[in-house]
Amino acid sequence: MFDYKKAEIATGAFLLVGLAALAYLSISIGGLKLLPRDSYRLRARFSNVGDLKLRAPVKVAGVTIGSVEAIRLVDYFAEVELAVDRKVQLPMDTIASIASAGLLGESHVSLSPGAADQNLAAGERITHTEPALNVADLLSRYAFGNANQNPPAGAAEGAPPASERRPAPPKEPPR
Amino acid sequence: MRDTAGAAAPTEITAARVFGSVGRGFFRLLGDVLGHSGRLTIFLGATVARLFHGRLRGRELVSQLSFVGAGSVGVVTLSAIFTGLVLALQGYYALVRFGSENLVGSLVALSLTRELGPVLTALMVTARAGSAMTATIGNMAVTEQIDALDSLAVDPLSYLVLPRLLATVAALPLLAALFSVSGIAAAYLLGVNVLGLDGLAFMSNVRSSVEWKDVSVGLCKALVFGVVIAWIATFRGRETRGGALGVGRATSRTVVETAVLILCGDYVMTALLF
Repeated sequence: MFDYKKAEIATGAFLLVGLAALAYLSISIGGLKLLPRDSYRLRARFSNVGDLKLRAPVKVAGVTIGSVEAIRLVDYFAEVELAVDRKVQLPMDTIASIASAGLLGESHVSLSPGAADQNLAAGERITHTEPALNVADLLSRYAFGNANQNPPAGAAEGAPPASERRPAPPKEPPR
Repeated sequence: MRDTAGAAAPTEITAARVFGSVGRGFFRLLGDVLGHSGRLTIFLGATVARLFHGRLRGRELVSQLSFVGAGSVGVVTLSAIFTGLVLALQGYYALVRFGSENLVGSLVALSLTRELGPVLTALMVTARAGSAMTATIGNMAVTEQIDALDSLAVDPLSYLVLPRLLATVAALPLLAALFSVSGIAAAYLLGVNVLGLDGLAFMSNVRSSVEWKDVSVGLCKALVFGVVIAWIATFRGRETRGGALGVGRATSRTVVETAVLILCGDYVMTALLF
């Protein structure tokens, strides 16, 4: 009938498999940090962070070296707290900008190291920042720029097809 | 024309009768729900109280854990594999139009860890183990075995209910994690081998889109569902009356009520926790 020994073994195996799945899901996929990675904090103030999210990557030359740990409003500026790998030292005149991967890609913080002799220490603020680019803004600027540059060309190009099309309908009814 | 005239005849169905029966049904349901919610609360409270001053029966706990947990591994993995496959296929057909088919990984991983993992696991466990709990306890109730336990000074709550509750609560998060992981693995295999996605891009998408919060909320849901399953199943078992017919009715009520509670509760928790 009921074999208790077997039940014990099955329970043990189930717990092992379940805990392994749980560990894989939370640590490898979920990015749970059991041991805090060796990093130091930097701050940067932006006039606009766009759709930057927590845990977004911080990159130098496209290589991820840390993540965004906090975003808060300070003096009407968005102050972003960055956790940067301790192995990466950044000069004082590093420029921080909000960039996005592709047109629809997620935003990240891109750091461009300067040439200063002194490095940024933990907790210091990056003073040179560039705000996020607003794609809709860029598009509208592009559209307006085009219209201002060659309105006669646009009007001249737009007119002929209209005049060509207008005589066309009367041709069809006689047939 | 004659049919409608017959239906409108005063002896058959009148508006007053329709409204009357709807109203009676509503109040009966309301009374049922309110009456049961009180008894349900007392039932759970008494069971949890056994945890602190009562004997925890390890042997019972282990055999329940083996039944609810280890016994469900096969069915949970199988349903997870096919859920992952369907998600990957559907997501691929929708995303390939925008040329962003690599997002299949994030789609599958997010929907599995947040919603589908806990919910489908809970539904499978309800169907497999919840129904069995009600049937077992219900059968004991109608054959007066629970009264016999009582007369032998064995507390039915700590002997029958508490081990089932603890085993389900412990097993569900593990099963839900197993569901998510095997679903993602199946989607990965399909994506890489059949749909021609890049394996590294797939996994990096999965890793970058799923955050610890998604995982933890999913696991919290699974814990709550575990409580709900064992709670309803054991309560319905204890309340069973009326012989074999009653056992059947109690089992079907358990499955329906638990499934509805899981789906409604999932919406409420998603709305509150995200």
